[in-house]
Amino acid sequence: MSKPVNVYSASEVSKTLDEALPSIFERLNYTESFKLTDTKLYIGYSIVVVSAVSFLLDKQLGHRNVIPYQQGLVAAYIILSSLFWYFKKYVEKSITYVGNEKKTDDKISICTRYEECEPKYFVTFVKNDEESSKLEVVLETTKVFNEAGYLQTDLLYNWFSEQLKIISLKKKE
Amino acid sequence: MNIRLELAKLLNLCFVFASAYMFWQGLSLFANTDSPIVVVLSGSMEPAFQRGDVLFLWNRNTQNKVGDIVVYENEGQDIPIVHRVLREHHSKSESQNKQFLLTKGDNNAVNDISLYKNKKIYLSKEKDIVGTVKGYLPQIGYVTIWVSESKYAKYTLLAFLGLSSLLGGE
Amino acid sequence: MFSLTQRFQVVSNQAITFSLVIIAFVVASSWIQLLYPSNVFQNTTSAIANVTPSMTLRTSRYYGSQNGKPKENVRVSFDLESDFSPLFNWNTKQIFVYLTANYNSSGSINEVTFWDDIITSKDKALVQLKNAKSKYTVWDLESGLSGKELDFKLHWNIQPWVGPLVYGETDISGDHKLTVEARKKNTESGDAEKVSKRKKKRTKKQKVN
Repeated sequence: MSKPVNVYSASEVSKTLDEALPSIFERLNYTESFKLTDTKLYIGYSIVVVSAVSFLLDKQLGHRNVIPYQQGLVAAYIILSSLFWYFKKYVEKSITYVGNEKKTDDKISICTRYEECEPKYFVTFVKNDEESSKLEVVLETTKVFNEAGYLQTDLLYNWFSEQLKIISLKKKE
Repeated sequence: MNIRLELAKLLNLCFVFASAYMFWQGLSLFANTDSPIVVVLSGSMEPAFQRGDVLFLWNRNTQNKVGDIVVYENEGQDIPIVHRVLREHHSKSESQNKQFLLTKGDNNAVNDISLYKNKKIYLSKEKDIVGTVKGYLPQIGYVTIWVSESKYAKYTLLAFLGLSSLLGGE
Repeated sequence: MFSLTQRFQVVSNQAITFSLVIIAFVVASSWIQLLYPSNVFQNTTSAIANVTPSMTLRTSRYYGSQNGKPKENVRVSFDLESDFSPLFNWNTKQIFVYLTANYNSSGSINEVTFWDDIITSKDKALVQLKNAKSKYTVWDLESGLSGKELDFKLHWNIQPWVGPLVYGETDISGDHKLTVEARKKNTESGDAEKVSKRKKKRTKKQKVN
């Protein structure tokens, strides 16, 4: 990340950190899994296709001639949209990163969130979808950004590797 | 370059158009008409409706009453006309749903016979009527007239939309 | 957060919500004014008197004639009284009042307008007409109007500044039913002559063409 960030904006800071996650975990020997994002994109683009078909039918054949098809398309649009909304809200939740360890194939999911006007980045780790391995930590964002607003990726890398060690210790207990 | 991130951004842009269009389509099906919302283009119903006023149409009624304000389209012409029903004639038997209407603009001196095509002297409710006016919003539709009639306005609007979608990513 | 479009979105969203609330308030309050203290849908009255029809035969397409057949066209003169001032409230832009007649013909039920008027303010809301002429000349779709019983009604339509269009009918008193008499014989023959002359003209024209 070579762009300075307005460190007073909690949303911008957390967004920058979110975007830094893939490269950090690449260095930590993880491969990113895109299953969630891909599913979301599939549902999303099928919504777009449904609307495009409806638009073209209307333009080419005229409203009165295609009413039953349009009813089907509008129903499909409503169903897909609610599916999309459900997926975003309950399946994806606030998951920003999912990856697998390259050797052990351990799966890690990371949820992140921020609160307005607080220099904090709330991170939740879940290993292999096990509730027992859940770890909630808070990162003081002032520690990983310098005065000019540049993200210090090495500091962030160190912080994440520490957290991963804590999780693996926790599991051994 | 993260292709998934770009696709997600594009998806957001598509959603804006898709949701707007599907809302319109849903409204069309609900009101059973191909244009559930129309903008008044002529002054023939003044002072009730002026250019740029927005009208909401409903077309699930099988018959119109005298006094209803209807929107009709002549065959082969895409210009919707908003006028009031002056006369109606419908069949006594319930099975036949045919209704004939004569219309006139409140601000016009004579009825619409000279506007009808093919030497018709009546409109058919089933074939010619786009919808019956149920609701009214003043002047808001003037934006669409302005955009469709002035090319500068069109370019300004397009430029504004383009800029905002570019800046929207930040 | 700091982007122009986001700010624009927030402002426009608020503007839309705000105006929807205002519209809802205007529509609701004007409906209440129509119902209280007196319900205008039931309590608007009118009186009609001295309805006298007059009939002519027309052969123009603009007067209902098809294939050159003469069509009975009826006008009426009438006295009318009604007060529409209770219909004016702060969401009334204008009132459209119209005098119609219902009648049955062999196969169909019909309603036709004879006279209408636009009332734009409360001080013009008192309608008092003496020996007024109908605005329109009326013909039947199928045959003639003679022998038909016309039942006159006075309707109103409130055109709002914003919101739904409101329709209603006045409670009409007076002699509002009228049977159109058949044409008298001498006028009929006179008309018939005229018609035959016109037909001759037409045939000449066709020859020229």
